[in-house]
Amino acid sequence: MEDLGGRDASRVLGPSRAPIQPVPETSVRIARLLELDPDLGDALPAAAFSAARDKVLVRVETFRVGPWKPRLAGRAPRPGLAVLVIDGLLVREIESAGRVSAELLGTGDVIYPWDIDRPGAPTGVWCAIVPGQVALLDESLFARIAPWPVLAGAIASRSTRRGRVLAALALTRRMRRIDERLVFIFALFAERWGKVRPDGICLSLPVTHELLGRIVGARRQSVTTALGDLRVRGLITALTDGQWLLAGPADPAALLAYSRATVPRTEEAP
Amino acid sequence: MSGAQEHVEVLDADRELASALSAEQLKLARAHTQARVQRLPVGGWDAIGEYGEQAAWLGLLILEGFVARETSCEQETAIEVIGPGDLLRPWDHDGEYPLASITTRWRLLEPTLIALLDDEFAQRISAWPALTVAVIGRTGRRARWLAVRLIISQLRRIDARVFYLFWHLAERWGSHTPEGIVIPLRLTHAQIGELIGAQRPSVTTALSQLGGEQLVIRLPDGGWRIPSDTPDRLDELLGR
Repeated sequence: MEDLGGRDASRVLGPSRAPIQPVPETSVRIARLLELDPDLGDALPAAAFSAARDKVLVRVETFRVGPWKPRLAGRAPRPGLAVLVIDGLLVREIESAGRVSAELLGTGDVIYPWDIDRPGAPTGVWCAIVPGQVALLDESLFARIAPWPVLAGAIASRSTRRGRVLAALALTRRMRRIDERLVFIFALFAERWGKVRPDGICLSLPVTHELLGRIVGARRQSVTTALGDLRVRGLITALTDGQWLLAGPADPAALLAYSRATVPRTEEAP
Repeated sequence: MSGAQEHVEVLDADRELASALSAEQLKLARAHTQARVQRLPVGGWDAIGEYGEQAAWLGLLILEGFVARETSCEQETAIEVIGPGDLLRPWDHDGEYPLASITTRWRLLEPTLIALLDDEFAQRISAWPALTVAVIGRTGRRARWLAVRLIISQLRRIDARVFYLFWHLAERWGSHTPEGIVIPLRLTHAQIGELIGAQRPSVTTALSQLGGEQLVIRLPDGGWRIPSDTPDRLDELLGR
């Protein structure tokens, strides 16, 4: 395998977009990993969980809404270092060939904010849309979890989850209709972050139509038109304060079937 | 578990992982990175049936060959190509989407050699946390490449998507030759369509155009070749 990296790829891939606003101030503290995210210890017997909970400490950084650049790794962040999202909601955008694509990352996701593959490759720009916290998964953390290797497996599992969600997002690019793309991703979001209430599933997701367009690969205007149509059809309704109401189950196939059963009026993707 | 079993020292088989350690650490660690390997034939692969639920494993590290991960919902399918250096955990399926609705299948595109980074392996390398970080970090790399794929599938022109895809694949797995960059990956037109969000007939048309311009050439062994100056040519194509 030969490394072809850096060969003028930046011209093809386009410049990475620097945050326009300054990164908001943050605070750092030490916390117990398994208190922040008990699910990571699911495979541990009770006694081992208790021991690990007391001994596995992590550095945690808060973040506010706005451009985000973690400072946990100090002056020399290394590619490959990861952080675990404890709460809040982050957006990663990449730009290449004049197109922008975005993904949403939230509670339980493992992300690599310092990583680039090679010079010139598209670099993610990070932004927080809901304030929260991240924990640093560095070498010292992995040294502390050494007595419980199952925790390394649990972190690896979280790290692969992002890839599985992106693989599902790739399916939206196969859908010609923008309303179906939106129904599909709202169902995915609802599965992860939705709260069931009598009239449907409520999602607290302060996303703009432009950001939704970057997630589903569509123009802002097309998203606005499609969302208007979905509201009329009673499928997805924007409430106040970044809340959304999704009618029906958090199941992409079922919701798509329901969507297709109603009269479609929105435009198709290019 | 099917296939003949051998062992490798992972740090010898994947030199990039070795770069996570100092020379002194490497000397000590090498002997502790022995892992079972499996050779798998081309075709469908029941990865979950093969290994079961292995929550404590770090994963399966691809040493040679290529695997397609096919994600489907109703009649739509998108694929991800996974190759040497990538880490898989096919048994992972937490609740981010219902399995009944979105399904995953695995297909071996080439004869494939994988190292089983099991719980014993994880235990042995835990003395070198930088190595654990590097191994798990391979999954993050896969996610970043998938994000680039989403960009490719947003391009308006199908020929630009196809050409960009091959540059993208060449960046990871290509080799320079005097004639250009060779990508040793046999992909059907339908699979290319599933990689870039296009229909098979559109891919065939685009490949015909790109072949006519000597931009993407199919080789007799099924691999592909693109020009050494692909970034310039891709710029030109995107600007048309």
